[in-house]
Amino acid sequence: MNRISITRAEKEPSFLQIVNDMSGEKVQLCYQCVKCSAGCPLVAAMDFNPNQIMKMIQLGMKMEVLSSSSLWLCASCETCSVRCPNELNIPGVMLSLREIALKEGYEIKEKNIEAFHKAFLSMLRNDGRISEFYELASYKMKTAQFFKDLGLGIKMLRKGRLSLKHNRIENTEDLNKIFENLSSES
Amino acid sequence: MKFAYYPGCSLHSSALEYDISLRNMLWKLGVELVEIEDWICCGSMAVKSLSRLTAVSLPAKNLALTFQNGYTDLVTPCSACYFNLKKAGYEIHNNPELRSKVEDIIESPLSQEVNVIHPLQLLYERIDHNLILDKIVKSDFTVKVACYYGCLITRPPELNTFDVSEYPESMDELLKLSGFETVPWSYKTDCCGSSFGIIEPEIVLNLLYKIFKEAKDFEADVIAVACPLCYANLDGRQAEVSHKFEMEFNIPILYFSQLMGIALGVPESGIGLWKPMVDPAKLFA
Repeated sequence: MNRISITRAEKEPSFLQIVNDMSGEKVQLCYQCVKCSAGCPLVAAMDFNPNQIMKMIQLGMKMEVLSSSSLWLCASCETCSVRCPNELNIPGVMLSLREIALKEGYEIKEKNIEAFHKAFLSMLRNDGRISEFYELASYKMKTAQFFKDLGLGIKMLRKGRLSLKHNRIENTEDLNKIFENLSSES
Repeated sequence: MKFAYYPGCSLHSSALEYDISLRNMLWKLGVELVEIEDWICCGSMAVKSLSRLTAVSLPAKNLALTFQNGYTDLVTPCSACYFNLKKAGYEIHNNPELRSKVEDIIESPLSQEVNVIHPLQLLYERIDHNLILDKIVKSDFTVKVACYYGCLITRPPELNTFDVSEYPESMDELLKLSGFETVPWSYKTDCCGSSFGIIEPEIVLNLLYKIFKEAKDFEADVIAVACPLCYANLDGRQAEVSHKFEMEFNIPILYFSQLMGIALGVPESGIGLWKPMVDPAKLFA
């Protein structure tokens, strides 16, 4: 956990509005009870705690927020949103922050997480479904981590826990239409 | 009773035993799962990171397919699929602007609401528990089960109405009904980190350790799960957790549907006990 000085920050109040509009949430509801961070399973790995991120959004600290590792390390487990006394959906806010960071070309602190998600979407786009083995292989190629988990991978292949079968849908016409329509939306 | 069925990608590959055991145990209770044709991946935990609109549109397409196939109830066993399908339905239903946008993207109407149901909910709410008791052929188990619900089945409360978010009991009650003892441990819904299982294994080993340690303290013989991602993580990484924390666990991981299948007399070939990394053979010796 990092300590931050909030007085030195550039204030960009419009950032709060952008995050609210995108997530459908009202981030100013957060009054720092810190329940989210107390229950967050990933908090130890984050550079800023979820409650700090909420405060930083309120203060318009756009650059610090969008360059943080926290938005990428949120597992969307929803523990915080169950416990938040103001019913703020913090995982939803984190996802919106990811989308803004990607759109605005911010340097992503957790590049492997982004790479994994992109490999996943690209397979989904092509096949309509995910073939776990090939998805993992594609991620490993993209991030050049050939030996990490190799032993576990081999054991799982031997046991038949990872299938070499390709999962694909037969009719890709509807799938193609969805992605064409999505790209003309954005 | 017939229900539309969305297996999701894992149940077609790494979680075949969940698919097989679930279909077979439900069959014993007179329930048939009918897989919807040409279903597409729900986007899992990945797509929502990249685009919210894509993350709503993909599950919405499956909801539209369900209705086009003549069903208004959709059973889906994977926590991530269940959460995504349910959340998309909730958002579309509560936001007319989003709904019309998504209808244009998937080129199908979304006028009819589809109930997305987890198999635990199906068994807990839609099936007479006396019927389950009637159909049970074996109940003399001496196996203590730690029921692990994971994060997304019971959360958040506005989406999941069939059980309590913080301390759910549905799986416990179903397994008790089937003759198993369950333990009152406090890690039922603590996230196992499986969405980072491949990307950040070091973080995940720490989360798993807490879960295994608590199950061991309660002398659980097996951890029962209801999600293919939890299964892959708890079973696949258990040896590494033992190694890292120098503590032997050797706790087999089984789907609740496998345990209930055994109680309902599904033959071993129909339960799929053949592939786990942690061998469950000792349980039924």
